[in-house]
Amino acid sequence: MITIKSLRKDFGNFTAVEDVSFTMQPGEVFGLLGPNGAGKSTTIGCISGLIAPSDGSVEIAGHDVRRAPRAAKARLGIVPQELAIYEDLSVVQNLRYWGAAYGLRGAALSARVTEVLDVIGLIDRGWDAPKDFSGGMKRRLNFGCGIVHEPDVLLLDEPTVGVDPQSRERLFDMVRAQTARGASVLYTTHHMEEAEALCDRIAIVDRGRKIAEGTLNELRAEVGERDVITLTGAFDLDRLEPALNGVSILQFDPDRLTLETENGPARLAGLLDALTSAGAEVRETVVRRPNLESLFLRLTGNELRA
Amino acid sequence: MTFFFASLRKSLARIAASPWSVAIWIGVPLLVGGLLTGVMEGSGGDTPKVHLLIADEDTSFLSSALVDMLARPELADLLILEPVVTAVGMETLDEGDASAMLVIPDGFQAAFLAAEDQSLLLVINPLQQVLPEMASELAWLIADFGSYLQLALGPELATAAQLADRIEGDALGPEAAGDVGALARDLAVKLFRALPHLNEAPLEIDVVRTEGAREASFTLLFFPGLLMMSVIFAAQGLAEDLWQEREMGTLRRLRSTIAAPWAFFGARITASAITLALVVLPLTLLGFALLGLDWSALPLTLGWLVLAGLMLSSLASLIQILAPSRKTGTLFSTLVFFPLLLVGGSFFPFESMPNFLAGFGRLTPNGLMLEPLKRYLIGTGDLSAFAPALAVAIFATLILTAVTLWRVKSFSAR
Repeated sequence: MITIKSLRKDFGNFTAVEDVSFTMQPGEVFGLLGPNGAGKSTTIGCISGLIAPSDGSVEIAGHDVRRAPRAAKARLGIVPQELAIYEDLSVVQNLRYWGAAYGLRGAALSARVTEVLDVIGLIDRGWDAPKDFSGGMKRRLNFGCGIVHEPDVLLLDEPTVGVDPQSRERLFDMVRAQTARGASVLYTTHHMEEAEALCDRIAIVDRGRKIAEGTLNELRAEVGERDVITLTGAFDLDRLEPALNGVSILQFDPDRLTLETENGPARLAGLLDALTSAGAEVRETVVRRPNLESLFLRLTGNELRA
Repeated sequence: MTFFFASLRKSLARIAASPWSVAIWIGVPLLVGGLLTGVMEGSGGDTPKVHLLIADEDTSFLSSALVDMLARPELADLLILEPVVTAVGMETLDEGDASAMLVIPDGFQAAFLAAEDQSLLLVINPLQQVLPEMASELAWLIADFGSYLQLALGPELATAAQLADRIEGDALGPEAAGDVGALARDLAVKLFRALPHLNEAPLEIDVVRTEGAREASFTLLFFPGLLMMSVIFAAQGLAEDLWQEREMGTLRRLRSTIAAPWAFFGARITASAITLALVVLPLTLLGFALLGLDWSALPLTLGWLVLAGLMLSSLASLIQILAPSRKTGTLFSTLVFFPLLLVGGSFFPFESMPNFLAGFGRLTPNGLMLEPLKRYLIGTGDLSAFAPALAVAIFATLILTAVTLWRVKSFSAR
């Protein structure tokens, strides 16, 4: 449904996206996971035609975004990261406007507006202006405006920013409903849990480059069974290394040490004794099972943080 | 076209959702117009008069004749005369309660009859501008008239003055009959000698008004500018929606759809035209009713104001879209439009401006549109006067809109 080949975007001397390629199939949620500034929104911009790529190609349902933008855009729906709705117009007026922007008209438009009102759970608030809505309700309307024309491909750019857990679950249900009807969904996030909960396949991006891609299981296999232990305190690297005894260092700061080891909980007590004997001061300890964050940490040396 | 109408409905609905803006576009010009008209014409709209104090220190036959001349009914529309003693008159002037004081000094008659140099003293109120000037002009007229009168009828005036001094009660004694007869004979001779010349060379002034012209009160001169002020406020306000759309993200989202930009801008212009018409309609109806204007000029007036509004709105839109931030856009827009309001005939009629400023003002976008409309409403201009401004307005609107359309892509991407 979407084919992206060697996508690149330069802003002057800064390369925001570099050699990114992936494909998406119908009915699939494809996650683009990476920290802020990784190039996720720029990739979305290139796919939606808002940003002209410096190199590479984007095809949506066989239509090249640059050569046939109208045909490509007609198959595409976008839910931007920031709300993009008219808060002084009613929910119905918003949906009708965005439906018309994709060429819907007459009875077909009215029918779709009614369906979308039901999908986003605002059928009782259809004639209210969203200016008085909660953040979650506004997000749902923002989502509804992106699906009113039943797009084959839906781009969701960090759609859960500022959303409470309950509204987030509802949003996930709405996303699943789209894939159930055969739409492809590109979902960008910097929350590992969201990617794990929702995405069929995930590409991990950092500094504009794709550094890993696969299903959740494939990516977990890359991590292996090694746990991640994060220690907070005061550390001296030269004195620590002999005490680690085969435990790998993933990340070092004088006040923060991230280690990787098999069977972490069992080895923790001995490790803490060895570190304390080596002059380290440990104030806080966190042990995590292997997950996407571990993989990101291993691949980049940085945490997947906001 | 589907999106055009959807976008039009959206724009009109958003304008309707902020009725206070529309109320301000109508209300502020109405308030300013009411205040300025009140200041310039007074609450009753009466013609201002020269309040002239007369201090007659001579109390002679000729000084009384001079006062009687100023008190003639023909001058009643121009002058309010108040006899005073000089000292009291000075106090009145100091308090700013009169326009000027004419002092007829002691010895005036004697010096006048002796053809000696003589001065009338005119003391003016510095707090007033126009009325003391009128008093001054009147005093110079009197002085000129007196000089010619002295040259023509000096001896007869001297005889008349002597006879006046001899009046006892309301009558002259029988011994004065010979002098009165001689005076009458001398006056008759001079008049009969002068009469043929006066008949042969009558000097007349015909006052005519331009065909179709109305009496142009300050209110009438100000009315079209008032309408234009409303148009300018509305045009500025309507242009701010671009920054609203940008900040809401809707402009950027729109670019990801298949909607044509021309449909969005076409709908925006159409919505602006409808809004402008609705904004100026109440003011125009009110003005036409109060000023008794010809109702057949109403459609043209409305259409012209809407066209002016579209041109000014497209200028304001371009200013907004070129600005780096919404705040800067509002500031730039104010910096451009406030001077235009001042010199373009909206705050002050061109007729009350110095010539160089009025000439410049007529070349401003709003002044260019205002002038033919004003002349048409007053009755001194015809439809052909609209043609140049019409061409400029259409051309400017198209160019400004095209540039705005060209810039909107980078504007929405910022």
